[in-house]
Amino acid sequence: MEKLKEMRSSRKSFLLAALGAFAAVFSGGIGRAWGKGHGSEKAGRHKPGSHLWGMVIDLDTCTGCGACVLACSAENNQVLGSPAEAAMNRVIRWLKILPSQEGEYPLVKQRLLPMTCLHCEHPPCTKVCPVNATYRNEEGIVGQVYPRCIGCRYCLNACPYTIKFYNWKEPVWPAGMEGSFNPDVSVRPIGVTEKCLFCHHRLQRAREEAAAQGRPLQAGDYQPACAEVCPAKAITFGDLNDPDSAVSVLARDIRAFHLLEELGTEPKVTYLKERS
Amino acid sequence: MTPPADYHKNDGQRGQKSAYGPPNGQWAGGGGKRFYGPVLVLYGAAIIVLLLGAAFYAYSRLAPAGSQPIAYNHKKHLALGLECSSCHLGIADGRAHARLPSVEVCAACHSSEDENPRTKVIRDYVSGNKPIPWKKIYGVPDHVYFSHRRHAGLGKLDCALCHGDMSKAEAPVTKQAEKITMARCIDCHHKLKVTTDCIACHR
Repeated sequence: MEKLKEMRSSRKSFLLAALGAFAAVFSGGIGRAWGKGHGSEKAGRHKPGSHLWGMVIDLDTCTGCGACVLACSAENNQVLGSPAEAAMNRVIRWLKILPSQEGEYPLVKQRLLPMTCLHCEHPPCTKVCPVNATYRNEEGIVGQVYPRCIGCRYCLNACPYTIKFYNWKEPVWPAGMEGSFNPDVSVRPIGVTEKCLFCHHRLQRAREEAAAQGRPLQAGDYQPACAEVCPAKAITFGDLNDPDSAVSVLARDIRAFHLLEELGTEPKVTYLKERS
Repeated sequence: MTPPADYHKNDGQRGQKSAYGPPNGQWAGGGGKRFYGPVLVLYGAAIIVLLLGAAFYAYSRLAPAGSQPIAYNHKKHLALGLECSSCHLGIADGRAHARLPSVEVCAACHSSEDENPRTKVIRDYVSGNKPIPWKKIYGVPDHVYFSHRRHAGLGKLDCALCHGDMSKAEAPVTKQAEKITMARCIDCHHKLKVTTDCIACHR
């Protein structure tokens, strides 16, 4: 009888413990799903300790000054283009500011939206590339391998954000400008598609520097040119796999939205809408 | 524009009497009855000339004419206790490029006090302070990012892995000891289980 009681109590405690453990796991799971927000649900796809690079652009602090556009084109050896080409919107800028007007006079509002490649988690462009020249790499960056690209322009058409660019012409610079090229970035020849790579060459440099100092890559080591130069600090860049990084925290903000969210591309560039 | 009168002459008669092959449907190799023999010989000669030209071009790219400006002896210098990085300065500096030695590097040892007649060439460069026109033998295309710091510095790979064992090389370098190809890079990256991400090397 004693023994039976003992068994019963132990069974009860076991059941309670099991229930508790289940509840803990379940609530933990929910908590994680709610708490971590964007990008974290993809964490399972990544090795632990790996990175998932992402960006947050705060439209409330952005003044539309265009420093990011300039920094991006200088950093990535983008052709200058002529005013005539610019008027036809044919100048290649990996990062551009999209203007839009809202409302009717006198209640008009000008909106400016800096837009780069959104580095989708499910990029439509990579799925149509016949030669694997564009692909999503392990760290979430949608890469473009210029020597591999055959210039079919399928990816340009597949991109719902129209943020990939084709080199219709051999790039030309004013005489004497060759010396000012960034040596870490190639000059794309005629006939290939190009796009923002989140300044991937800076990641290479940062990795090398971190390895030289014998430490792992830290937050802030790697910043694309646009994020670095932004005078209003509207662009935040970092690791979405780290739930405590500045970019993850901002991506969970109540103001956060993504462009064409309904397409399911899951962009890793999050926008924070203007405070009203 | 109307087609010439004989435009449709051969229609439906391919194989028997076509413009695209010999009239009797047989190539000249067997009999050489018609004039195809000499033509083939000419073609063959042209192909051989082209191949020779291509081979010469490839050879001239690999080993530039006249080879190096100085008959530099790697074996002798390494035997004196010099390291690769003593002269190829970029490696020690932590730069991406290893760089060919500048005249100042040579001047550190080959000063005017040195009177060896065999080193007169280098002393002339030093005293004239002229840059040495080394021929670059190793290199990667513009669209490839290769860092010596990452490989030789941080990765501690032996230079000989790509550049051959220079402690045995007495003649100046005029061709690549190991041909630097992407297959070679990837092979090593697979073996050492390092990244094979495209944009890690392609820029």
